[in-house]
Amino acid sequence: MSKTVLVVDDTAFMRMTIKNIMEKNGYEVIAEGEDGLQAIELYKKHRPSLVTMDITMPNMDGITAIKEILAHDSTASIIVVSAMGQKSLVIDALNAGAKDFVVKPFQPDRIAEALQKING
Amino acid sequence: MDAAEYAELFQAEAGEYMQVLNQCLLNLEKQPCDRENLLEAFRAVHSLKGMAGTMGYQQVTDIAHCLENFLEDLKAALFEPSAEVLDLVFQAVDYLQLSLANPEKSLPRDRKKVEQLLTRIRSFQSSLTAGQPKNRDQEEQLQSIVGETEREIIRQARDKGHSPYLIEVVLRRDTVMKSVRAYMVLRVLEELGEVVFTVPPQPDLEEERFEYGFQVGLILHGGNPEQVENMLLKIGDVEQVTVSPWEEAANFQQEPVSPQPETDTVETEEVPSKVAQAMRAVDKMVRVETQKLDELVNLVGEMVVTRTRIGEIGRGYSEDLDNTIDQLKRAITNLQDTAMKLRMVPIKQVFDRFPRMVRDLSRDSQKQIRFLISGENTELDRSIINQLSDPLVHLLRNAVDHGIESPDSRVAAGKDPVGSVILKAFHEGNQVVIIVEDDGAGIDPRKVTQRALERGLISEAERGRMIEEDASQLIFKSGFSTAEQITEISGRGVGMDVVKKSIEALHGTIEVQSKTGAMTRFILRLPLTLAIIKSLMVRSAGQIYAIPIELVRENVYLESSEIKTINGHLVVNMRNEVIPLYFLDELLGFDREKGKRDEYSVVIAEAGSKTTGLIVDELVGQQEIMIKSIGQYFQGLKGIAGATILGDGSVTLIIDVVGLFDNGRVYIEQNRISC
Repeated sequence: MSKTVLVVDDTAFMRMTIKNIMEKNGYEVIAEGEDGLQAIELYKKHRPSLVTMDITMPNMDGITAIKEILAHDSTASIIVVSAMGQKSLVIDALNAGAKDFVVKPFQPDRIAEALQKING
Repeated sequence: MDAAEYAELFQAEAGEYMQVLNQCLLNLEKQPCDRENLLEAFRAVHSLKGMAGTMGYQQVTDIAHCLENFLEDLKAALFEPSAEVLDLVFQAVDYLQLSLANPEKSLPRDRKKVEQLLTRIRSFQSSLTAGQPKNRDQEEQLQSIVGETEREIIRQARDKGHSPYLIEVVLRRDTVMKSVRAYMVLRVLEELGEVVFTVPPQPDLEEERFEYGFQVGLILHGGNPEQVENMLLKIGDVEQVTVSPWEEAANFQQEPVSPQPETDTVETEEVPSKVAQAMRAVDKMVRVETQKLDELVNLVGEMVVTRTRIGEIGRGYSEDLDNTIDQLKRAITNLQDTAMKLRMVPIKQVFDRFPRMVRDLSRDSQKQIRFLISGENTELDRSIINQLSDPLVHLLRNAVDHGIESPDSRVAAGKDPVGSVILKAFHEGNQVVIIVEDDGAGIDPRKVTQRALERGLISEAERGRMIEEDASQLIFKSGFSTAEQITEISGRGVGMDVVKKSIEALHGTIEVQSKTGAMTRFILRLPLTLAIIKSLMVRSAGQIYAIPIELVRENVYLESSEIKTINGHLVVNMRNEVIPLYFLDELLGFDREKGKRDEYSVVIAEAGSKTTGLIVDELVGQQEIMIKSIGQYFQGLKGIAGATILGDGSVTLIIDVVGLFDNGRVYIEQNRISC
C-alpha cells in the first residue's frame, strides 16, 4: 500500500514546503486542506496514512480537527506542525491524540526522522 | 580595512582566545566539574571558530569545531574527561596553535594527522556519551530528590511485586521544545507504571531547565525494560534511552512494623543532607524575568493610585461602599507589599565582591587592613542595588588608599598597625542605611578648607566660620577634587561629588563624619524602593507638587511675626534651631505672589544634615505616588525629581529636595550680591 498524506496548513507556502519534503520521503500527497473543517472532510474522503496538521488556522483550529478526526477514526496518524513558542498548544494537540510534532521553521531531515519514528 | 589588517586583528584576538583556552584546559584537568571554567573554554573556542570561519581558515575552523563539540558535551555534563581524552584535547589545541601560525595553508601531512586526531576525539566522545549519560550533578540531585515519601512509595511497590527502574533519557542536541518532549516521555511512562520522581524535578523539566538528558524513577507495573526503551525511542527527538533496575532502591530497608528499639529506627531514618535541603529550597523558587517584575510593580503602582482616587470619590456615599473600599485598600496594600518584596534582593550581591577588592587594594598599598562586613542580608530594591556598586567601590577605595595610614604611621600615632575598614548595612524605618567607616587619619579640616578656598568654593569669611563638621562636607562640592592628590580623601580624579550625585539620583543622601586622626565615616541613606513613595502633596503657585515624605521632618504653620530676617534671608527659630526659609515657588523659578500673609504653611524638609523650611501656599495631604520618569528633555531640571500621575489623571511634579537646596544656595548667593 502506498503511503499517503494529507497536508493541512492555511498558508500555501507551508503546504508546498511540506509537500516537497513528504514526496522526497516516499509519500503521496493525496490532498491539501486550508483549515480544520476541510481537514475533516478530506480525511473522511481519502483516509490518508498520515496527516500533517497546522495548529492555528481559520474556521477550525488544528486541535479541534485532531479531536474530530480521531473521533471518526481512532487509528489516524497525525503530526502537529507548530510555530515556535506554541508550547501549551502543542501539549494540547498531543493530549488530543496527535502522535508527534515538528516545529516551524524545520529542517527537512527532522520531518523525515519524525516519519521514521512514527512508522517504525 | 584591508585583508592584511583583518588578518592581523584576527591573530591578535585568536592569541588571546588560545591563552584563555589553554588556561581553562589546565584548570579542567584539576577540576573537571568547574562549570564556569568550562563555559569560558567553550566561549573561547566558539569565538575562535566563528572568527576563523569568517576568515576562511578551514583547518582552524575544523579543529575548533571539534573542540567545541567536545566541550559542549562536557558542559552538558554528559561525561567526565579521562586523562586520556584530555591528552588528545591538548594535542588538538597544539594543532590548533600550529594551524593558527599558518592559517591560510593547511599542510597535507598535518592535515592527515589532524583528521586522525579529530576522529579519535570524536569516537572517544561518542563512546563515552553512549555509555553513561549520568553525571555527578545528576547523581547528587538524585540523592537529594529521593526523600522519605519516594522511598515509601518504592517500598510499597516492592511489596506488591513491582520493580523500580531508573530511566535515563537523552534528547537530540537540537531539540526544539525540550519540555514537550519530556512531557511526551512522562506521558508514555505514566501509562506503563508510576513515575516516582524525575531528575531534575518536573517543574524544571517544564521550564526547560535541563540540558539534554533527564532521569525518571519509575515503578513498572507490567512489561519489561526493553518495551519501555522501545516505546520511548519512538518519541521524536529521543536519541537514547537507558532503562536499568534501580539497584540503590533495593537497599531501602523495610520500615519496622512492630515497635523496635530506638536505635534501629534512627538508623533507618536518614537525616536529609544539607545539599538535599538546599535543593528542595531551590525547587520552591521560580525564576522570573526582571522585566515582568517591573511591569507588575508598575501595575500595582497604578492600582495604588486608582485606589486612592476611588476612596476620594466614594467617601461618604454609603457605609457599604466605604467598607468595601477599605477592604480593597487592605488587599491592595498587601499586594503592593508583596510586589515590592519580589523586587528586594539582599545587598550581599554587591558586598560579596568587596572583600577581594579590599584585599587587593591593601596589598597594593602595603597596608594592613581588617575588613569587616555586616548586614549583608539587608534587602533593598534590585534597581537600587545595581547602582550602588560604583559609589561603594569609590568609598572603599578612598578608605583604603587615603583613610587608613601605613602601618608605621599608625604605630607612630599609637594605633593598632592593622587598620579597620567597616562596611555595614541595616534598616532604619523606611530606609536602608549603609555605613563605610575606617579608623584612619580622618579628614583634616585645615587641608580641606584651604583646598576649597583655593578652588574658590568658599570665601575667607566662610572659612573662618566653619566648624570641623562643615569643613568635611566640602569634599562633596563639585570642583573640589581633581586628579591631583591634595587632600587625604580625594584623589583618583573621580570626585566625591560624583558619588554624592549618584546616591542622590537614587533618592538617597550621603553625609560624612570625621575625626581628625581617628576615623572617617560615610553614612548613606537610601529608600527601600524607587517605585512607589509616600509623598506630602503641597500647593504652590497654583500647582500641586509632591515632596517625598521621608525628607519631610514636620509641617508647621508659622505666623508672620515668627519669621525673622538675617542677612536678608528668611529664617525661623524653632526649638532653638535656626532654619532658613524659602518660598517654594521662588526656588522653582516662579514669581512669588506679592502680598503679605498672616500665616504661612511651611514644610520642614531634611536632606542629609541640612534642614530647610519650604513655604508653600497650602498643605494638601499625604498620598502614595508612583515615580515616573519625566523623560530626557527635563532631566537635570534643578529641583524636579520626576513626575507622577494622580488618581484623577492630572500630572504632578515631584520635588527634588536635595536639588532645591542647591538652588537655595544659589539663590542666597544672588541675594547677597543684590543686597
